[in-house]
Amino acid sequence: MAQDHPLYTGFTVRESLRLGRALNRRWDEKVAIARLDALGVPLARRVGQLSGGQRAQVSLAMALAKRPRLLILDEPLASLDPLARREFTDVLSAVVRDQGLSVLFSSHVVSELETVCDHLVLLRGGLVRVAGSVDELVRASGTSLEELILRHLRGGGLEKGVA
Amino acid sequence: MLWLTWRQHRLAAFTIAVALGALGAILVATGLPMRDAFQSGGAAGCVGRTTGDCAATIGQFLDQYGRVGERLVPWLNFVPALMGVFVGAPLLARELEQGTYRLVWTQAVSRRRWLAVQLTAMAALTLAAAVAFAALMTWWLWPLDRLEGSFVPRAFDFEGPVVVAYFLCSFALGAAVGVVCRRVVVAMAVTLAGFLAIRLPIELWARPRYRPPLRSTLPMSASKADLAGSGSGAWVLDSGFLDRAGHVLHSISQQQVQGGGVVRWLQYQPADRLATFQTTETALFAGLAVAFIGLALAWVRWRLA
Repeated sequence: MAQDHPLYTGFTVRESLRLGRALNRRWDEKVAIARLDALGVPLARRVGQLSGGQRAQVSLAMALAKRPRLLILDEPLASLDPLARREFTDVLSAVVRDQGLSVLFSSHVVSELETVCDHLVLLRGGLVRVAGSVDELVRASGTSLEELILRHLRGGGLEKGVA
Repeated sequence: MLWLTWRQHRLAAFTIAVALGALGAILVATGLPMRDAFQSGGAAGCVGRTTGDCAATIGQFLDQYGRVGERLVPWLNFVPALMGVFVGAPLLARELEQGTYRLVWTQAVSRRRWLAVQLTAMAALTLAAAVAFAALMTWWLWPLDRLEGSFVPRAFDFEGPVVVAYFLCSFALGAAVGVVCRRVVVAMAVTLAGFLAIRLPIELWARPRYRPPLRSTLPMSASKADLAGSGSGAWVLDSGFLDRAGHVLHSISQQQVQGGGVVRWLQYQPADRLATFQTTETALFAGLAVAFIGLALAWVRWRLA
């Protein structure tokens, strides 16, 4: 899934899902519709008229409808407001728990990482600075994950945290 | 996959159908009176005859309706170009500009198949539009063609397989430019300029040279209709005057004409070469179309991967 959640803006949400059905052999549309319904995303509305958070949810629903075992997300939170971020990571946590899929995502949003991630790889200047389980990193440093990350990033430009 | 292509481009398909319908309405509205005048005005009975009253009858018909054709028809040369501008250029440029290619490329359909379906479906639409356009124009031009033949550009450009080749070449050029430019508006402008840059030199420079033109001389008494190749269906490229020694005269005097020392000469392509010329130009544009599609495919494969 890409950062700007590419979708056809002229398609309705339902048509976007139909696109997924047409182009994938494995496609779980019922679950996708149920998930979007629960979030209050109007299925009949054109994607271009949705909020950024709703678009991200449609993108995520389309990615999850393929029933992947590994989901790779490139900065999924970057364009979202705090509430949409929380909703997004909530959905992500729920499917990881229920379906046992793995999620690899890159993010600059340091504060969100601790609640979502099990493992962290911190990159700066193209080099791995920190890697390990979030629990262990926090226990060993005695500070919050956010503090830990910031400490490692200081002195250089902010690079990516991969979790 | 076909559903997706239809959903994305149904608006374009409707627009083309409406535009062709409107053009058809104009052509029928002007074509019916022209046919009527062709029959009732006596020009129909004069096909192939250029002497006596027939010269005047044909001249009168051409003055009235040939001129309508001359005003209207050149603009219709833009129709194939518009196919590339409005269908070909945005086809892939919009996907690249809006980033939606990443949506389709991350589904379980290969890039190549997606591209093949998109291009084939839109080429089929282009083909259908070309056939409809050529059919309309052939019907409309019929009376003029009976008198002047189908070799003159006014007819050649709108009848026969060459029309389909123009449409497909324009579409393919648009698609290729769209992939390379990745911007819809830029691609549309480049496609229009590019298609004209191909089409005009071929019509004005290359087409008269597909085969070496023939020359012949006519007596000064030959009528205007003879010179235009009426009934013969030849394409007259150039004409002028020669003196008895065979020199081209740039101006002639009344005395020279009365003294019988001047003849008219014509340079032309005879009517029986029409099929060869249509085939040659069709092959040329079809070849270009294939090359442009190849470029689009290669660019997607090697430059966007």
